[in-house]
Amino acid sequence: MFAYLVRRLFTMILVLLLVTIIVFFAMRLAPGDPARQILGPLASQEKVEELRQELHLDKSIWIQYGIWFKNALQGDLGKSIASKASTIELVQSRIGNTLELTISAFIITVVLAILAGVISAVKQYTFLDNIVTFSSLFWLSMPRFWLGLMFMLLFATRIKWLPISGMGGPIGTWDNLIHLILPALTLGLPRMGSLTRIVRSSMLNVLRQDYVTTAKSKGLKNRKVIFKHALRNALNPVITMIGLQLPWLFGGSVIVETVFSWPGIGRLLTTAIFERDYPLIQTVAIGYTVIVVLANLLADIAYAISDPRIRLQ
Amino acid sequence: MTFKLWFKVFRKNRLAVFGAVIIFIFFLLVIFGNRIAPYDPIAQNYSNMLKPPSFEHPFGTDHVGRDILSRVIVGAKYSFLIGFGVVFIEGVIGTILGLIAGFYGGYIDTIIMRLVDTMLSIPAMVLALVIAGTLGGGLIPVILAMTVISWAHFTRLVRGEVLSVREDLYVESAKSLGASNYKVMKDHILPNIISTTIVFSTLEIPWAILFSAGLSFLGVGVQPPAPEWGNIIASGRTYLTNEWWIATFPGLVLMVLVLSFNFVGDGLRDALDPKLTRK
Repeated sequence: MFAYLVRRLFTMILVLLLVTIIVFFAMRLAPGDPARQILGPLASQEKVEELRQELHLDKSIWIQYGIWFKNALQGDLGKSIASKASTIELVQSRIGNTLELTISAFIITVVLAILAGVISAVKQYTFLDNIVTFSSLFWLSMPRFWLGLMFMLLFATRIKWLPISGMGGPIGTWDNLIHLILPALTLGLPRMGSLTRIVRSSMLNVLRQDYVTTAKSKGLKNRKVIFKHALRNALNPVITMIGLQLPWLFGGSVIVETVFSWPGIGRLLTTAIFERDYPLIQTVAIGYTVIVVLANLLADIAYAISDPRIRLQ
Repeated sequence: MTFKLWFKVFRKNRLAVFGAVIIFIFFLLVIFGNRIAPYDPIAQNYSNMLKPPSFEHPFGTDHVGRDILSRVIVGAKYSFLIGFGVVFIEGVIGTILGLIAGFYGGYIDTIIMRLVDTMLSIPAMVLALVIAGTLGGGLIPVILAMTVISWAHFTRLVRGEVLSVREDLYVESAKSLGASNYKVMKDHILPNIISTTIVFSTLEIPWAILFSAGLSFLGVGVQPPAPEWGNIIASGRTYLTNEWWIATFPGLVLMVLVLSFNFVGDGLRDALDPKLTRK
């Protein structure tokens, strides 16, 4: 367990290092002088030079990264260029909103995928199975941003059941939950496709095992055999798959937050990119990476719990 | 498996054949798009703004009077260019790295695979958005950003395949006959993993098309007024309530194309390599 945690920590540091380096270099490779872009075309050359020094833009790129890294280790990720606020505080104030959205979407994906996968495995080669197979391909092919717009068009502007955008109120309030429905579905449904297929093939595998036959011949109810004996064992590959999918789910939240004006860190990121707010871009990228890495850690632990044969090594 | 046999399996899958036909039609649009399109996809016509779908304009017109159908037809080339381009570059990089990692093993393998695992645990959309966005958007930044985030998919797949054939007898005998490492990889390993690679590519193209459209929708992809589908949908967002057709039709076309690729990819997988799963 200890060795596992050390290795995990090492990977986490590696991931963070790689992300910050890629983001840092992309920002410095960007055309134009960041200082000039921040101050606008009307600012004097002196002012631009001053800002260049302040941002260390006059030094080599590795030294710039070194300075940034040293400050980061001390917990200082810089101030937003646009709003002058601390980037960490900006990310902290919005990360909860992103988590609310992604966790809800995650639950939708997992619950629906398990249901659909189990049904199509139990009813293999029937009409129902064909429908599930087709619909998982259908969701897999869905452009998420377009799905969001179509949901808005249908449920918010035509039949006015649900609000069109924003997040209503603080997390957990009734108004907030009403606002959550469309974004969470938009984020969750397209991811259902690939997971459903894994559940289906894993269930099909398990249903052929001897212990399922034994359970059936003991005279247990069909439902009990499927959910207690088969599904329990079919879940292991599903959990691995979920772990691999998490980065995609969080990535998708950038698009969904933009479509529905959901005030999370994804929207913060798109705004920061258009304002060329480099310190903020870097901090949001770190924020996303940290949640994904932590989520992967949780998936690993869940895997070990669900399959006692696996010990975290 | 002979070509004839797998073609027989593929042909039996009606959805896959249907998908192949649709993709062929889109290919024609890519090649002849400019000649087929009934109107100019770029020129603005203010006497024709925001017209609903009609006989003259089946998909309607947008806020500056351009025919949406013509824009969708001409825009097909961007999706194909990015989809095929990214998967080709990613395929070349991934095949080379995967071959090296799988064939040599040891610390080279450890380094490459550590890097692959690291890349796979980064939210791809975030990284691609930052790379394409800071570079100012456009065709080249999008392809670059998508290559950076996707080479690891291919590398992992190819490495796994290499590991599964590395110990086979024909590789052993080639080695003992004194063939160089390069020759063993090129003449003995590569031909045996190529079918899996092809199947994976067909499943990766629809991903790339969807992803690049998403980047355009966020405003960091191919820049307007180019009639890229993600762009058209983004421009229709403002008019969603009343002029619903601007965002609806391009998205529908995008979905049909991606679905067709997935049908074909699935059919190919069943025909060539039943053990592959998608991400």
